[in-house]
Amino acid sequence: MREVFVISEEERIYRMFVVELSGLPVHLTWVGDMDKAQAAFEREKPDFIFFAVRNNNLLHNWLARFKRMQLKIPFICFLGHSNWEKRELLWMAGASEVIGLPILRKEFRIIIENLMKPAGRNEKINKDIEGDLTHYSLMDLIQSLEDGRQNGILHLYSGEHRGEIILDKGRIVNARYEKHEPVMAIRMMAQWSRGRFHFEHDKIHHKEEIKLDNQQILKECQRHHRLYEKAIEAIPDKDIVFYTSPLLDFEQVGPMARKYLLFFKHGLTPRDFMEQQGTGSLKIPENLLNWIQKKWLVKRSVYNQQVSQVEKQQSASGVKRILDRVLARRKNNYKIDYTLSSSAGKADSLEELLNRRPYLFTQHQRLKALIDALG
Amino acid sequence: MHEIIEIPFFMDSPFWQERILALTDSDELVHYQGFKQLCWQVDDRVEVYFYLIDRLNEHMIHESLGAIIPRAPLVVFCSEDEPAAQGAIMDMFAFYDKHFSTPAVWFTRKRVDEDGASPEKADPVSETGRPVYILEQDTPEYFKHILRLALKEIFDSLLKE
Repeated sequence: MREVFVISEEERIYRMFVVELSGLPVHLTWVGDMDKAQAAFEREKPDFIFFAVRNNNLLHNWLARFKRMQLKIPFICFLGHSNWEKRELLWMAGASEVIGLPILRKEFRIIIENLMKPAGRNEKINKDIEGDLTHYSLMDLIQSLEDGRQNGILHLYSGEHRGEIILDKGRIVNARYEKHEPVMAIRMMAQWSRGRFHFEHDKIHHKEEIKLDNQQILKECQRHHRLYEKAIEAIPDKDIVFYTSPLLDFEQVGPMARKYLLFFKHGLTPRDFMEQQGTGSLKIPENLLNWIQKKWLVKRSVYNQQVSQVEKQQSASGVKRILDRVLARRKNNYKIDYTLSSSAGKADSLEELLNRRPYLFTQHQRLKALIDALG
Repeated sequence: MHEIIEIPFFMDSPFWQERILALTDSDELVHYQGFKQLCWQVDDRVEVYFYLIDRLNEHMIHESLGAIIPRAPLVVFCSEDEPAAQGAIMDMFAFYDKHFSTPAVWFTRKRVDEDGASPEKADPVSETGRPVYILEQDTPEYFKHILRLALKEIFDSLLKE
């Protein structure tokens, strides 16, 4: 939606614009004559200005005052029947277009539509958008790209992770992040609170791979966010440093867990781990909780005890070491449980909850009408 | 133009299909693979599409109702008697519960919370934790009454959100 100020002495002219331009993505505001307009510019800067005034001298006077303000906002001049010289003067004064009134409605709309196009001569809007994810949430970004009916690819970067969301005239049509299914990819990327984004404009018609509309996708993201927060909330002692247990046999651990557990080798708090390694997947906070519960990750005091235990074993002779190990295993002294099927028997894992088809009913009025009809 | 509300009904016996036909005063059931459909013109503004599913066909539920269920205000599970824990309707419910998040309610014919169920016997319907509505009188008016109650409860909970 482009904001347009109509500078004119007559409200009648503003009303005419409102009627003739209805349905175009422009929002018109009548600000009155130039005196009032100057005050209005202090409050708000529109995307476009329409100057509509019958008296030619007065128009040039207004334009001169407008130029002195150095706002650099594109403007269009509207005139009554006027000769070519008069128009040329206004073009020289920097008008994006000079339109003589009356004009055919269709022609008028086409001219305005072309001038207002985001990809038009207004370079400010055509430029790629980029910024920091700590300042903008993905949900807000999507909302503003939707409002501007933007077409192109939104690239997201967080640590070593990168993904993209594809928009077609403001509508989310596809997303890519690793091998995740498009909606899941968006849900996960919406949890990235650090990193950068970069929106690359294009004019390509992107194929629709997601059947949900933007609002439904945002709702999904919010749902994911609540579950993600809940999963992080469940982790105990988030600000205490944890270490990988020296008793842990990395051979017994899966490759993904191994990768993550190594981050704790020299100590790391769950909070820092989540900030650095959180991909938005619920698996990561769930696994972290699991590792703490299974004692794969231990606090400093336990870590020290275990280190001395290991050192003692290593100083013993080879035969004793093997014997110790066998006996310890028989006694179950190690207490390291390598099974990760903690969700067996538990109700639903959060991941399962997320894979259910969402509840999308929104026709409240219709439901009310049915209840009334049944009453 | 009519405003259409779609409500899927999962059921374990022809009893409930007959109740719905009596309610709508119609016999124009349209048969599809995996379910039947019935249109009910409630008044000059609202129309209800009932989807009746009386057997578990996972593929068909995904394919044919996968888009309808998320947009329905609720789904109804109907059991003529107190179902056994391994009964057909419980299988349908378990499948449903695993794949959808639209609110579900139960319509049953017998009282499930009083005399009927002895304490040592598990009551699978109540164990689902979903609201249970009992058809105490076998009349279209009463059926309409419990349908309205169920919808009203959903509407109130939507307003609270």
